[in-house]
Amino acid sequence: MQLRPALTERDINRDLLRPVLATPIWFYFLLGGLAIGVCTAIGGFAWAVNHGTGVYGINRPVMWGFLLVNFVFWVGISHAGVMLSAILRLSNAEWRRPATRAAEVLTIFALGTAALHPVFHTGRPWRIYWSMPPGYDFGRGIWPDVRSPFVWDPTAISTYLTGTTLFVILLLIPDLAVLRDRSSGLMQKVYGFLSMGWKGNTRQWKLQIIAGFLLSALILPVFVSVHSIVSWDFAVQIAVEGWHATIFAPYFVIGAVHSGVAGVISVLALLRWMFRWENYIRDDHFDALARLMIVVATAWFYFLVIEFFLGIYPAEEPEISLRTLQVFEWPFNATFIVFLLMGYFVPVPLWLFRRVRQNVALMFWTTLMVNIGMWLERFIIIIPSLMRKQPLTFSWGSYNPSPIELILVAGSFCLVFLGVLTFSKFFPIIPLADAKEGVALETHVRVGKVMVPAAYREE
Amino acid sequence: MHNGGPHGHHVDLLERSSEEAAGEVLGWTERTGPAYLLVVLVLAAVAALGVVGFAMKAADGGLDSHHPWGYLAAALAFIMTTSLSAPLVAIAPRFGKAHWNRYVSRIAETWSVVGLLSILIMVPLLLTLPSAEHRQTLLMYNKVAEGWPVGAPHLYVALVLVFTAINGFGLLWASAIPDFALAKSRVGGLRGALYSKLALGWVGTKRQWRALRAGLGVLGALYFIFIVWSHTTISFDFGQSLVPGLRDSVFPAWQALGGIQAALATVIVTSFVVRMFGGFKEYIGVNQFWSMAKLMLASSLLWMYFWWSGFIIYWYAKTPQAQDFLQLMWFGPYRTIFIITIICNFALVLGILMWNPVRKSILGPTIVSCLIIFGAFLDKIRIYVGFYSVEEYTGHILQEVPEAVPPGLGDGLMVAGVIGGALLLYTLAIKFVPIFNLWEIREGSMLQVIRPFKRLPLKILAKPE
Repeated sequence: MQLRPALTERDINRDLLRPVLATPIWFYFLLGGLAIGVCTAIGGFAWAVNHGTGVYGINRPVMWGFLLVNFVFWVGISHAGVMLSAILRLSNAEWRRPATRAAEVLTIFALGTAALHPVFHTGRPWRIYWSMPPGYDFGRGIWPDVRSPFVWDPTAISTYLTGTTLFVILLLIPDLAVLRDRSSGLMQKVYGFLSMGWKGNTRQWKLQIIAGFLLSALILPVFVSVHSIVSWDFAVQIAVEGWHATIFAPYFVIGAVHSGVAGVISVLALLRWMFRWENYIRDDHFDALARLMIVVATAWFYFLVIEFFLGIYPAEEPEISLRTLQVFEWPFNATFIVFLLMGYFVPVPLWLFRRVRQNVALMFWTTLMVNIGMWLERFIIIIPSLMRKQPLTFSWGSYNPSPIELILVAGSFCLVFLGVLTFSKFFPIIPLADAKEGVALETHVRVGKVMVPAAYREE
Repeated sequence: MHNGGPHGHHVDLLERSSEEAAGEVLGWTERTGPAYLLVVLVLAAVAALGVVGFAMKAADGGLDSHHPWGYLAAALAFIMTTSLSAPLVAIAPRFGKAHWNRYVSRIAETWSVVGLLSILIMVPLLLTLPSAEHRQTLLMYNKVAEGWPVGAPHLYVALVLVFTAINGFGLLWASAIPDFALAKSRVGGLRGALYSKLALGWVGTKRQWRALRAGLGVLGALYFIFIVWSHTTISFDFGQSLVPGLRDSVFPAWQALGGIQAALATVIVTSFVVRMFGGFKEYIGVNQFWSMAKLMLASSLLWMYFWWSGFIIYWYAKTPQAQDFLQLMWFGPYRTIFIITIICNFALVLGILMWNPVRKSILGPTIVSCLIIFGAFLDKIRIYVGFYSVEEYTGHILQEVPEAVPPGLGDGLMVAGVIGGALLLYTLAIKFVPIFNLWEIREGSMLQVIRPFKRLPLKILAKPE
């Protein structure tokens, strides 16, 4: 059995702060490439603002297109942060350590990007003001309808974004103090301000740990509520076949966890390759994450099957015509097959093999595959249902995404990765304190002739 | 259990050598004192009363209609959700490489013997279950392809339950093979011969251990799938498919989740009884109760979330049909039962188990578990008796919300008989299969040690990769 490398605190500081203190040249090229993608998307949106939402492919009856598919996708990705960070922290899972911050940061940028999509979709960003509390026209007795999911949505998303940001900042404090002590000039002042006088004394650590646990527990209901509410945007509408299903909330949440954790694994693989962090993001971390993925993916698949069968079992004509469109008619039939293969049937059987679970390249590609599948899942839920929304066949419609929508979707991916990379330029993306604690608690137990990896556990 | 270091930190490692533990556990398995025999007699009498109740119902209403059998369906669902789900408490932590479960895994797995009873109850229920003709079914065979698939839904319900029971027995047997091998050398007579046969020539070679681990993995995964599918099938075929127009997709998943919650409760209560009355206080410690209580709290929160996810869709829709379903399921004739269920399965669980000192105790989780089991029982009554009482089960719309159906003498006897029968099977099984998984406990003692960390003695948990 291979023993883990012995790392000192000095090694950890040197390795994990390398991207912050000595940024390689290729990093700037990558950043530049992503920035070009984001600028193109900004240009596309400016075009949409100037010419109106007619430049999008949406039309009656399909009034929600790629932009809202992408909105649901990014909200889903954002679920990885809390899933990995809060739940694994509460359950004291040792293997969480290298993944937590990347997951939290991915949450922040994915959620921020998701929040932009309704703005893109409506095409009139300045009108957003009127949908927020300062813009309510109370004087004329106009109040928001609190029973509408469109009021629940911004409330849940903004709460989740605030909570996750607070979570990241709180857990960053000890690392910021390390950066403060290793930087100079303006950056030292910035890190010094952000680290809030952290010295690492017993009282500070105690408060930090308690606050971390409390925030973990408090953010969990918010995490569940966000995607539940997104699902209710669809499920409370009785007029659209395929949406009015009671399972939508847990189905969306577990689907979000499925795509979110897959997203984190992809990001971890990239980080390991880019920054050569083999000693920190180890094969056994991928192994543990893949085991988690098997469980999550199978639960998600069970929900998918239940949702589908319970949809068709009353054999009512509108639902049957919708499901026929989703499964048997071009191009949705191909999309449906690709979605099933990529979302479940190819990656999950592969993850049953330890060799695959511990192969970083395979884990990267299979988790990427999951997210392609999960994007298509949202597409299949949203678009065909709207195409068959009307009871009379002459009102049925179709949808073709416009180039502007495609640019905005591609730009959203660039924006998220630009955000994560920029963060990694200024802050350690693997928590130093957590990594050091992990090393301190790591040990081995001899069983016969074998040394088995072990960890101290304070209960 | 070793409960202390200088700072009073709880570290639970059994202070017994493997030999001592084997002697104690196997000795207890063999012993059958007067108290035990009295318990067996009482349970057998209660189970016999169940047969009397069944005969009364059969003589009264016959097997022509499913309507009189709501309480029997509820009893089946209840033992599925408690007893037959209990082995999940052994399976899931084994997959997660946890250590706390080693002392309760056999207690959990032994509940799979109740699979035998579930098959017995299934027979009259299947005989009375109406054919799928003129009604909605999961496989829509009457709508889409006439006559296909053959035997739906009866055949498929039977297959799922039979496979679950066989799988459960297989799991219990496989996990007990090394213990049977250990027992065969200590026990003579018929019992020893039986142990010897069941041990399949186990000597503990590397190859045998590899095969055992692989087998437990496969059987465990299959059991998980089967039990979830059993909940899905029962809640569907004996539940919502009998209510025309009801299309509640979260309902089967909610029932399966309730199974996980009640499974934990069942294992906690059983562990408490084994600890208190079996004299195994050294074996089952606070750590086991604490670990299960944490999972039970999480599953209770999810239970409520799943219920809410279903409720809000009907409540928000506010169509006449949705309002009828709200009445039938929650706010109509079974409102009181529903409120008690919510209190037992969510409100009190949250209110009590949110406090760590209570979670980290033996009595706290046990009391909450009793509440959960009681709540699960009422929940099954509410669902199955309510759904079975819908007169017109064909068509697409629920025409009328039926009145509540109070239990008759026959119903009461039947339900008591089913519960007594389940307990009887378990009580008999623990005197044949060792109540503790001796090889898992021994493995645990090799993978857990106490060493000082700085000045504090802490437990070290090793996880083989």
